[in-house]
Amino acid sequence: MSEHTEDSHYVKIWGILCVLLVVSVVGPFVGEATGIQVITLITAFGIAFVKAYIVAKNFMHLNVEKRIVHFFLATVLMFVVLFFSATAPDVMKQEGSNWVKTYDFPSLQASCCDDNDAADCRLAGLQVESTDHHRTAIRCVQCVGRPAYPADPEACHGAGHGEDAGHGEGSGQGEDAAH
Amino acid sequence: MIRPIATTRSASGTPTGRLAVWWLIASEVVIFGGLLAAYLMHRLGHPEWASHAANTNTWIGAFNTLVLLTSSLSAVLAHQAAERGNGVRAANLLLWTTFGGLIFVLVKSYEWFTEISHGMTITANGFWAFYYTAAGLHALHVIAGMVIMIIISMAARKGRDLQRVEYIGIYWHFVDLIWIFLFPLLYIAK
Repeated sequence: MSEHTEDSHYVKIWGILCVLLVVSVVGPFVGEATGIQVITLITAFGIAFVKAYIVAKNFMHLNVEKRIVHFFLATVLMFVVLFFSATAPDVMKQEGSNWVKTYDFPSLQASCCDDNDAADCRLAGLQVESTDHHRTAIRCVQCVGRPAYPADPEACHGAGHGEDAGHGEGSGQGEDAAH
Repeated sequence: MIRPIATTRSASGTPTGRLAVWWLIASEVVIFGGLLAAYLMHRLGHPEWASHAANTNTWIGAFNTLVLLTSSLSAVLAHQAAERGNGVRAANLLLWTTFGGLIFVLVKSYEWFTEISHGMTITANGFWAFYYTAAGLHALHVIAGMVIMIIISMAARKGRDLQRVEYIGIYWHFVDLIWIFLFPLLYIAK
């Protein structure tokens, strides 16, 4: 391959990487606009793997490297996967067959009350279904003492609290509960 | 000049220097892989982090990705020049690569300055702790690569140790590769 041809080959690879970069930036906007989350996942993370493959193959010349190098990389990647699979359940789950994680509940409940985050409420074990007034009253009890919530747990069971707090997961829920 | 024996022998069929770079990269894979895996599991376990991630600037992240991809191009072109024995061109291209690294660090500094001044510090919450740790560790690798590239380019300009141009190139591509994963994890996933 001549000098010019070799260089233009790498410039072409760079051009492909730039196009993929544009797709990885635009894709998530499209995913958000259409509400199709898989578009975001594919364009953001799928393309990251494609870009990494192109860089490793063409710029790092991994495709013509000795097998021992592939062995190195495969070994350490296996350790990363092992680390993730061994520790992820403890971090990502709140409970398992014979254990319940309690240390993270306060922060989740704080986020649930302060940010009115329904996903956090569920992770913290609180119920947010709008139709179940009794359980939303329980949520009010969990948030007692926080801004916009009553200082007394009994107040949560007063007229209207469970019902008000149960009216959806939108903004202003905490204020309703305090009335 | 007497050369160390490690630079003149090759038990694996790969030049020892290049093998050492791959060994370094293998250890870096565990460091960054562990950090990113920890971030990923915490991020999936804490959906509320999305509201904090929404404060990162996607366009700045995308610009820095473009800068690193372009600097990777100049690094691989420097390698090609070194393969042809053109030390001066290899040195110049390595300096262009260093310049790309400098732009990356300057943009990153501006970004951090803005975020910190708005109260988004490393102690603000879990997301920002991971953000500064991962991006900061990566930035340290960028700075280290820049220093090494300047040293290698000075030797390459005199036609010495041209094989090192390839070695630093492999390292630089790896730094680029890490950013390719950091970009969607820290800037796009919101």
